[in-house]
Amino acid sequence: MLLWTKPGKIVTWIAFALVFGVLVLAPFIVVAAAAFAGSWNGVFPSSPTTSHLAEALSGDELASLTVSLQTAFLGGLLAVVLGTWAALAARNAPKPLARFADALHHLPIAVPSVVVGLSLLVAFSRQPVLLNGTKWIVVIAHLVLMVAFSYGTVAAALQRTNDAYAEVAASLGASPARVLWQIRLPMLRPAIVSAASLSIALSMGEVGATIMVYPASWRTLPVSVFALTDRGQTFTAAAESLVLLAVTVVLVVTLDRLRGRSVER
Amino acid sequence: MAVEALSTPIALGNQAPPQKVSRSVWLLPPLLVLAGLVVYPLVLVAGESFTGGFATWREVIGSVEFRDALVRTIQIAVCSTIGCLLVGTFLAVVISFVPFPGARVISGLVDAMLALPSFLVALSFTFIYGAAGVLGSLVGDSGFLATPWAVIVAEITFYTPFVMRPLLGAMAQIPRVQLDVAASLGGGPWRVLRQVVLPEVKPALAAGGGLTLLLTLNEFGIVLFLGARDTTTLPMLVHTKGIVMFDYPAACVIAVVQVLLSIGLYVALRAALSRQGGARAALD
Amino acid sequence: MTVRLEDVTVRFGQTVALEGLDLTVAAGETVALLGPSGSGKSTALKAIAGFVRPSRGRIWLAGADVTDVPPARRGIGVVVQQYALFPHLRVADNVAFGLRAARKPKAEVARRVAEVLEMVGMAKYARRYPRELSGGQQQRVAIARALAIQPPVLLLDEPLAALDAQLRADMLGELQKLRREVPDVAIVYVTHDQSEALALADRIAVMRDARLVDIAPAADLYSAPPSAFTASFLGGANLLPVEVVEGGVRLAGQTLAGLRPQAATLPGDAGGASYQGAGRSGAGGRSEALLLCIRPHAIKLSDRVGEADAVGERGEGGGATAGDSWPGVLVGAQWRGASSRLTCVIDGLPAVSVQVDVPTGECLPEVGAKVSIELPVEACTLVAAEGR
Repeated sequence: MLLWTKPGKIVTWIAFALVFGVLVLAPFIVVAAAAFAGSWNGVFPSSPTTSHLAEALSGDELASLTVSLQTAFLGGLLAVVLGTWAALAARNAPKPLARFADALHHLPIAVPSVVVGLSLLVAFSRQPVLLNGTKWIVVIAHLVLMVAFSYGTVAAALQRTNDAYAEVAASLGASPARVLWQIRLPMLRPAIVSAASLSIALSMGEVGATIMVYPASWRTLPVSVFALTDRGQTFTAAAESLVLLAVTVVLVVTLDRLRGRSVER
Repeated sequence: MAVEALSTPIALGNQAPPQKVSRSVWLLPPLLVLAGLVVYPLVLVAGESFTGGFATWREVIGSVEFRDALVRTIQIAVCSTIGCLLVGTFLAVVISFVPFPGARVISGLVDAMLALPSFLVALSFTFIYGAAGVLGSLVGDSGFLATPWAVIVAEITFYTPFVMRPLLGAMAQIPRVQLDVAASLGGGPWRVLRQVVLPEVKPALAAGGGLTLLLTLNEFGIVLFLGARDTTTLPMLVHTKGIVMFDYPAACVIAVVQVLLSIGLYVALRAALSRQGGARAALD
Repeated sequence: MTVRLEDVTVRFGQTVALEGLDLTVAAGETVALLGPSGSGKSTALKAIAGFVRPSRGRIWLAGADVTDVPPARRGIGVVVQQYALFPHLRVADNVAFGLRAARKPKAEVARRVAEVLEMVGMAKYARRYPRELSGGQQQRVAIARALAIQPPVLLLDEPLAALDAQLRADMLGELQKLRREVPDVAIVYVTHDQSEALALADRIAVMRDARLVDIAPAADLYSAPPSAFTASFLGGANLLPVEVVEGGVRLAGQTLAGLRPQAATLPGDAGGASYQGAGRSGAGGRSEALLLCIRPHAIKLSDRVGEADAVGERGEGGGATAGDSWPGVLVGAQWRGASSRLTCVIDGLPAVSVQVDVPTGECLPEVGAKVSIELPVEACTLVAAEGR
């Protein structure tokens, strides 16, 4: 294709392995290794131990895992419902309105997460809605940040779907509600599931907005990791990050199985 | 993914369906929710920044701290984006056109990395570049972690997949025969790359690069976790003013500047991409 | 009349997709909407189905005005281009969809599904998913799904376009058979393929640039096309520029006499004036340009052996000659299996090539040879030239 000689290919592959390995992959491996390391005073970690992992799965740290899971499910699911709803409604709306909805739903991507956090703090520390200090402000922050991704994913899938399916269903006598539940939503299921797993994954790792708004009673996992690093407990922090990664992967894989057979159009 | 979010053109039916007015009512609930949770808070932020009239603005804009942070933020974002474009293009070209066993696994890995939290990278740097880490034990404490370069390298690590994904998509669209024909006409690898591959993937490159620039401007997790003293960026300053010093008006001034900066960039980006049109195909 | 369209116009913003369409389809009749892409034929179908709302005009279904009735309450069977079988439903559930939407009792749904699947020969595929079917099978299921609700009208939008040539021919036969199974259903068949229209339709509506050009029984449209567009789009006729003279028309300096009277009727001319009248002055005092229309298979070609010196004689159109043979040159030949398509040029008309079909087995002149081109007058009709 591009390279035709064996040596040329081998040199390129070595360069690839170096760049990809050192720059992209190494950091994640290092975190995993550190999670099991008693100490790290040389090129390689030493005195392997699982005590950090045990620490990461007990007491406050375990509590923040459940907090993160609840936030991710609540915020992520609300975001998926809202994003799917908006994407479906925008498709049927007149052009200027749809354009406006599109812009509004993409706004949270352009706004830095820290500013999203600050704005919620400013807005909900006063009347008429007082949410500062409750878990709801954290959930709302996650909802706001994830809604753009859900909307984007579902809208992209809708764009690829042919209107003919809904039209044919209608011509067969199906009411708009029947078309929505039996045709549109089932056909969008892969996109909705992707949106859900993406939202949950991103929510599990969210730092910027959470750190602005979280109350002491609702500390998510990344915030705990930050507190640990701040106190210099980097190995426990690594172990807890590993827990975060593992839980996220399990969630995403489970959701992916829900997705079922990918539907061809 | 973010890439899609950026490039998705407005989803519209190609034909005006009957009774469109009553149907647009369905758009109201989500719009109201977003108005209450996004627009209203942002408007309050703008209002809060003017609590002391223009005094807070003058004070913040005039401060060395703010100007340094602004320059730092842009420096870091631009350097990281250039780095991501270089590394991402190289990696994507190898995966696409010099394939090896396992190349598909790698591109799957790239997809998965998009969803990981950025602070992981910063955390790992403590072990790699820290005084007692992999490099530290070899060359001694270089003080690298305290420099903006640590942030840039971390952001390149984290954001390279964001450039690779649209590129891999666009490169998959290029017919392999085209490269074979170019080679049969006597084009060397560099020439084929420059004259056949790169022009085809330019929209994807622009989309990935633009998105990365936006996200690096707004990046917070990496800067927070590295905690480098000399590296205060705008999001970091919002956090410090708002949470550590409880100076809401000042935090809001910086927030407004930051929002204007990123929304301006975002709007310019979408306009540029929709004019190219081809970017959609490359990114979907 | 089962379906009636009255001045139906569809606009999308600035573009006019369909302009003032008047059309009626009777129960049991098949009308083909034939035209190139962008001619408005699919838009007309979507308007009947209710997928697009006309900007102007009314649509009547069995005597009731349905212009503002949503598709779900029109009860029309629709088969769209790519079939749009619901990918997440099995074949039987696809077919049952409309019946369930109408809340028919379970037993009736099952009976009717079995019935229509049997009708299209897909009974043993009921448990399959659409992706497990071939293109032709998907098409049958799409038709069964549309027929399950027992619609008075069946709309077919390019149903064969997605199939390869062999399958298309087979399915054409299937559709003819199906037509006989549902004798009372009005069928509107949209296609860009003239052979499908000729094979299936009772009447053909030729469309172009969002307008209806001609509508007539298929045989009439073919043998006596009312317009130049229909003549060339349906069956690819030769169109040769002529002018009206006393007693006939003049083609390349030679007069052709004895045209059939009905063939000489000018389209668009209010009174159906004869060609003589129209050619001389016309009702409004203008002279319309006319084209002589003849099918490639109707032309007879013979070698002009021994006429080698004829070139000099026929200089600036002596004009006195009459009859139905013109001298010309064979400039190209394509063998097409059952026949050969020859391209000739009539002397004095270098810009117009004449297509001639000659059955295989007949002796062909060499390319470059001088030939005699015979235009049998009974195969000729006159149409107005395009472009005012």
